[in-house]
Amino acid sequence: MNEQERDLTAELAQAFVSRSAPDELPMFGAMSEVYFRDPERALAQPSSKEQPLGFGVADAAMLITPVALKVAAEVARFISRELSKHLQEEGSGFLKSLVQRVFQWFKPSRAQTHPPKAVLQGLTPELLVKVHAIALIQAHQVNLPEDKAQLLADSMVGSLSMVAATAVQQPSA
Amino acid sequence: MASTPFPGVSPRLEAFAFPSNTSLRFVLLLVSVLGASTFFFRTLPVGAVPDEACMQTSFQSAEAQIQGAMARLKTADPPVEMTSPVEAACMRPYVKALALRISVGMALLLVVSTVLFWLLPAWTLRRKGLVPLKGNQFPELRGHLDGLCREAGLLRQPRFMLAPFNPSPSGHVFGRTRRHWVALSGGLVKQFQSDRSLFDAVLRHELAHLRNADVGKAFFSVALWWGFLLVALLPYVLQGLTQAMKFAWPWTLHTAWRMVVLTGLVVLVRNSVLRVRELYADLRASELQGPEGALERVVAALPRPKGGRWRELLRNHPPPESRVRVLTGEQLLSRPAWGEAFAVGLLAMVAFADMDQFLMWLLAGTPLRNFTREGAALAFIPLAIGITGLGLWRTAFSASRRGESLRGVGPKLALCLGVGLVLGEFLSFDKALETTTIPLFARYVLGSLPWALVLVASLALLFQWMAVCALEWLAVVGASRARYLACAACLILASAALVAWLSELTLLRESVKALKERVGLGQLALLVGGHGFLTLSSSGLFLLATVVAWAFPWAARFWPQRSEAAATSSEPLVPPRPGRWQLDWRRGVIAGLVFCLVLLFVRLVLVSSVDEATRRTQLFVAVFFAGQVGFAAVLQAAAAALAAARAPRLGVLQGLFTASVSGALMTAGVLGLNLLFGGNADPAFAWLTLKFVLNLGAVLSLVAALGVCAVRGAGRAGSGP
Repeated sequence: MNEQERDLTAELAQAFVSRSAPDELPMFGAMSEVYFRDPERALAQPSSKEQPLGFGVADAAMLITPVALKVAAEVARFISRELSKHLQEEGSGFLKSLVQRVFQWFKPSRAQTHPPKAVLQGLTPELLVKVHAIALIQAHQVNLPEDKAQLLADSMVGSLSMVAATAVQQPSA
Repeated sequence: MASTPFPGVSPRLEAFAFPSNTSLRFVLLLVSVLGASTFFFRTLPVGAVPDEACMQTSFQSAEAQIQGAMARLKTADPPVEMTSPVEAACMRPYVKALALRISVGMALLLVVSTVLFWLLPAWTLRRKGLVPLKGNQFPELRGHLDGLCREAGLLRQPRFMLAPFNPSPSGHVFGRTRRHWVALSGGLVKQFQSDRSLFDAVLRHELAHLRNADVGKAFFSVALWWGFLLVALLPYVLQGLTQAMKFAWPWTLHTAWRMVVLTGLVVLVRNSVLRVRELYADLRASELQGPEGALERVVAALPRPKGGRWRELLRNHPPPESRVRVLTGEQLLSRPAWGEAFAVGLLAMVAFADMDQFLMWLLAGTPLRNFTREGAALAFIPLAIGITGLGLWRTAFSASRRGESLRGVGPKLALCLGVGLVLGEFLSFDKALETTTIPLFARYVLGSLPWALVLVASLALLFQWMAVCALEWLAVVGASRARYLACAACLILASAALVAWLSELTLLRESVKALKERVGLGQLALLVGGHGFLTLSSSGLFLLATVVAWAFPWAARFWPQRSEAAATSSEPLVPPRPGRWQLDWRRGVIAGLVFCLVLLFVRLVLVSSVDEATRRTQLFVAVFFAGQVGFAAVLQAAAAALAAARAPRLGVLQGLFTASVSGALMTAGVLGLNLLFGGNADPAFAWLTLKFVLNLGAVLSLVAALGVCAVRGAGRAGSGP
């Protein structure tokens, strides 16, 4: 995963966590740090073995952030792959602009920098439908309850389409 | 019955009144690892194997020495010092190599374990993917954690780490002796917002581990286990496989089952160390949280582990039911340590013979060479008494607080320790050599039965005495610091007595083993009985032991804190029956005076009826002396029985006191009358007379007083409540 995909993953995941599990937000930085270091190891099922001097193995609570990171990473990879096919001429600047856009959309100041219009035109409704499907599949794979899975997929698509929609309304860069 | 508060100790924390089970089991683990390792190191081949001729020569020499000793016994010649086969010159390189290997093996095991202990935290940090819990990310949480650390009274703050992807609302502590980490799971940090009381309950439990100084013990236990696997078990398994490939199956199987038992025992002890400290941490945490805490709720909600009670023994954590029972005030941690008593006996005896041989090699040619048994006993017995005795004192502390009795606890503990000692000997390497066939095994079991019975009976007396001492002293010193002093004194006295007794018993057993193929049963009984009688009657240590037996518990009444402790308590400290002693010195004096009068009369009769030449013969003097001693002992026993029957409590000890008083008077009478009738009373003779009169009197008095107390107890039981 390259840096741009990583940033997009973090932004998409954080957007979802801030809505569905705000009590996990303080841990988000630490979690994404561990996740990007070694995603597979981070998401591996923690050992249910009792730790010496541990409290005991209690029933696990549902943590949303790992799921969000995993799904967002998959979505980021997909977008990167799909759009790069259509936007060869935009080069590597595309994803960076998109990330910046998403990032700024969540920021209160909402700085007025926009990705190239051509790039944003790549986020077609068909593509967003595919993103929704991928997010849903991924969420089901990690046994996220149906309502949460739907919410997660909607959130991913919503974040991306909001970026696209606001960008289209702006004058081209 | 309402509990009687000891000043200074919260009822919840009375399990901490003496060193905890965690510490005892940790020491037990050390013993078990070292004991089991000794076995494994001995099974490995030694380079310097003595040749057949050397073995034969040394054992023939030992045989000749035994024959010589037997001949001297018949002719009443003075005995000469004997040498062990191990001391033979050609055997020494072998014994030296063996001792060296065991020492180096032990040292290596401890070094490897220490290194692993040092590396464990780094490994945990890496394996668990822990990241520091940064204050700038969690300002509120960090502030709260600081408050919990202060509340727990920690002198040194741990480092808080986050296991972000662990969804279980849990935590664990780890580290080394002075450097500690607390890992919080992502699931737990989430609860900080949604269920603060759950978060606090888990954290208080973890911080209680730090307060109880569990980290070093728990992780050294883990490291010790790995050290044991690497340094002791692995070479043994490799060597066993090599032997098996050479078709040496019988010997391999013969040691292999012992290996399985010993390794299993180490695993059980290790897990018990890890399990018991959870209960102590819960207790400490519950004391910190106050009435509004959620610890009980959180523990009760923990999922029940699968499997039955046997599976519990293999787990690191006690089942939630046990934890809830401790939290609701059940005194699980103050129960007598039956398992520990059995395990420590077993493991101590596994290594006893090896230690004896090691000392034989070490002390060969020195004046201490005859004390190797005492040395070996000294290495293990204080430990066994320390572990079981401390458990007994803790039980007594809890029992006296509730006004409960300790009936049967001492003998049951003795039974556990005794059975452990007997089985431990059977598991040892020496017995593996001796019991290679079924007939040899059957012979060993039959030969061991009398020894085992005597051992368990004497341990029962010793433990009963320790229980009495604990109750007497705790009723006086309560929870003051003097309880440690009283407990230490009791354990030292009990250890000294058991070391002396066990080494005598071992010597006697070995003598019987050597003699029983050379003499008939009747002659053997005579020899053993005569040796036992002379050893016991002339033993200064036994005399001291009989006096200490009643003097130590009685001395509690003179402890200055008695009035102070009573004054600070809202209820009487001494449970239902008062700890008064009605020492019956009058019966002792009466018995002494009766003895003196009878002796005077007998002497007068003898002077008038037996000529002086006959009275001066050796035989007459010996028979007259034996008659005096025997009569004195019978009178002492009678006085002791009467005193025991009338004593309101502790009849046996009060009977012993009466016997001691009368015995001392009788000795004075013997010496005084001897002087009066033209004999001598030099210090050597006086000391010998005192020892014979008091020791023989104590043995008979003990039997008589025990009998009286048993009859009285049976009568009470028969009359019903």
